[in-house]
Amino acid sequence: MSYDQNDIDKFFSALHEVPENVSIKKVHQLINHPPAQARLVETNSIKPFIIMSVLTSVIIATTWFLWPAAEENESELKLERIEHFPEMKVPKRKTEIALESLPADVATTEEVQPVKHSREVAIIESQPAITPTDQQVIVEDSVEEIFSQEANLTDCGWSKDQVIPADDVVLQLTVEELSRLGFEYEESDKKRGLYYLNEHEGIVSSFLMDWKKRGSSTFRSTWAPQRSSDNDNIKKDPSHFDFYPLFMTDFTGESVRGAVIPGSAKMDQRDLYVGIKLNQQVSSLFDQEQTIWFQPTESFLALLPDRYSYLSETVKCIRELRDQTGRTNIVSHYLNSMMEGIQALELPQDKLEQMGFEFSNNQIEYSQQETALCGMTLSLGEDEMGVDMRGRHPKRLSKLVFVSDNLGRQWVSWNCDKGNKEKSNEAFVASYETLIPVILSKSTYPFLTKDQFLWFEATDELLGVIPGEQGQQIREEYEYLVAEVKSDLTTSCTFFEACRSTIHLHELEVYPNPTSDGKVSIRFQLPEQSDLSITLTDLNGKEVSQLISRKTYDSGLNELKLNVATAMPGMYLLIIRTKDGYLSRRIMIK
Amino acid sequence: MRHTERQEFIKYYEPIHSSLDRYCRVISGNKMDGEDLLHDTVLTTLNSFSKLENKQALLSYMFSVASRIHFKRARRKKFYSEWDSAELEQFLGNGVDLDRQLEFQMIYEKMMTLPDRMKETLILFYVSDLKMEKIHQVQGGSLSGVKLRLKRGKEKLLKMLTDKEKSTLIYMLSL
Repeated sequence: MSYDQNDIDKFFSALHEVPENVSIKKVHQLINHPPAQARLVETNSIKPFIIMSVLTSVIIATTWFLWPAAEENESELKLERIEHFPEMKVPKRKTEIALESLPADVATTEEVQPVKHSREVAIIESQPAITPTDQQVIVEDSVEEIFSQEANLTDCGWSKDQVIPADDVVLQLTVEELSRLGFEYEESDKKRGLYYLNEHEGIVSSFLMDWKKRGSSTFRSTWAPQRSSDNDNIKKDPSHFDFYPLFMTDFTGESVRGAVIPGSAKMDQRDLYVGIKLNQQVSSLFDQEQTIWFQPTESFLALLPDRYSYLSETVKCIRELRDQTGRTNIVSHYLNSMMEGIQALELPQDKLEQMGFEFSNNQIEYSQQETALCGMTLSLGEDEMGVDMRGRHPKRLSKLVFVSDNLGRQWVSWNCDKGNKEKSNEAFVASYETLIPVILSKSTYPFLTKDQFLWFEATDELLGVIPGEQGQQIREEYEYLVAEVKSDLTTSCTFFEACRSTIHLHELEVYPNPTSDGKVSIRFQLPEQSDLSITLTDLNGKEVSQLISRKTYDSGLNELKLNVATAMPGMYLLIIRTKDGYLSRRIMIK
Repeated sequence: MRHTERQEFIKYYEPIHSSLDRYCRVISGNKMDGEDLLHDTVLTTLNSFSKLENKQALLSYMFSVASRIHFKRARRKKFYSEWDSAELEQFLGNGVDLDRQLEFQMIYEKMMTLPDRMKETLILFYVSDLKMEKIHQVQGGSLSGVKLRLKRGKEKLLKMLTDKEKSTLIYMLSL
């Protein structure tokens, strides 16, 4: 094949018709609103040379002057350097700054792992959008920017993009400490409740949450923060603080329905509030943990226990930074967790149908046979949520063990063995570690009130349904987990937490699992003396309670008894940390 | 920069836009790079627009800026490969059949290996539709130099393509 002049001409005429790349509107926009950082690469390219040459000359000059002194008296020079060290302007790393805001005793322990993800996410959000053209320039300017930020630092020592995790401004108070803020907690055989009534400059705010026993039944009445005292149940004499509860959230930061006083608090201004997380004893009144948010007035801060004395300064700094920068996201909300939680499987609808799920308008149904005469139908939908055990149920090869919400709380259970009330459908599950959580997310199925996790046994059928490489990967990991001799297998772990664990403890046993009496024992063999921390986290990896904080254990067989009674029933992860890494086990608390 | 100055810039820039846009895209060989190049050219020109005495010369001025920025980057990036053939097909294949696309791609690749000034002349003339006189203003040198570069560029391109080896390759690709 050869070309002639005509071909070249045709080529150029085709090239001549290339579609428009940048519209003139875009250029208008660029001209009228040039990006703030839009200085040109050519002019900036000289900067590094200037900086480098200045630095080099400074170094040479310093060496020139100090060289004779070094020869004369080396120890004196060292001393001088140490003395000058605090004056040096070294840009602080963000984690260090955040740790400073914690109380000294907390900041020094190694267990404290500041929330990295949420902070980074928030920082990224706070920056202006970067266009490809700007990116180069910004990178070149970054060193200069850090130093200019350093120059503008407030007394608080916070940089402009400072973000502190919400946990730092959420306090945990005991019942006694709560009573100093005007809350009254009552617990008796017949009644259990939390009451609050406050009056300040004509604003009456009340709050009530109690359980009452009448005969054999229990009644619950709820009263979210509000500006009236209509309810007769509330105590009669109000306190007179200049602060009062403004709104209530669950621990993920979602507001509890109806718990916001209209007009008094805006959720997006949470930076101006301090939260009080109700402790387990009080929280058990509710379905889940609750945080009540207050405006941190001086008298409020003065009533807090000594361990929160750092807070007044933190609050001052948050306000100052807010005023200075106009940013409202200084306190990051509970976006992410401290550690990686579980990995859930999200299957496309056709695969779910293949497994036996039935989709109709605003309803998902799944039924399976448990025993020859018994089975269940699970309905998830707008009108109906729950399990029906009537009727006939098809036999399935994949086995649904239980259903939980996104925090691992089991909201539905079924039991085909009526003779044994204790024994539920999950009694025979050999190990929770190999269950595969299939997620039905709220975003895909908008009629669900929250994400649902369906825990299936890792049967061949289920593994076969998982499409592509992911299926193969999970199968490999599963085989690795159940294999008795693991040394022959090598696999990279991404799905099961037990497989992802970075350390291995010999003869590790967690029992009883599930536990119903709030106690769980762990047995393991240590090759040498080592330090351990044990944490209970929810499925998202957020810490629920610190069971053991850095304790030394001898080599050999160790047996620990842990108290997990404070946690709400549900599925949790038990994280064991040593200096070498961590391992996690799923445990079920009943 | 004041609003009136910006308005004046836009007035002079608008007629040039489409040919500059084509130039940037074809010489970068990539949509994103083309966009970047155009942005940088516009911003640079905008910065020094007040210094430009003869506003009529904006066309040659902007093409020179674009060309300088491009070759400067190309020099820095010459060790990186950034060839995106899928992207290329998309912008060369404007309603052309597949065989043609492949041929055009071959020609384009060859064209990009021509010496910088020669390649630039070809693109300015054929793609951006500039007159010889304007190209002479953009590139400097003499008018006859421009004419020679055009002629020799085409000849060289043809020579490269009529090479026996390459036609075999094209044949194999078209199978």
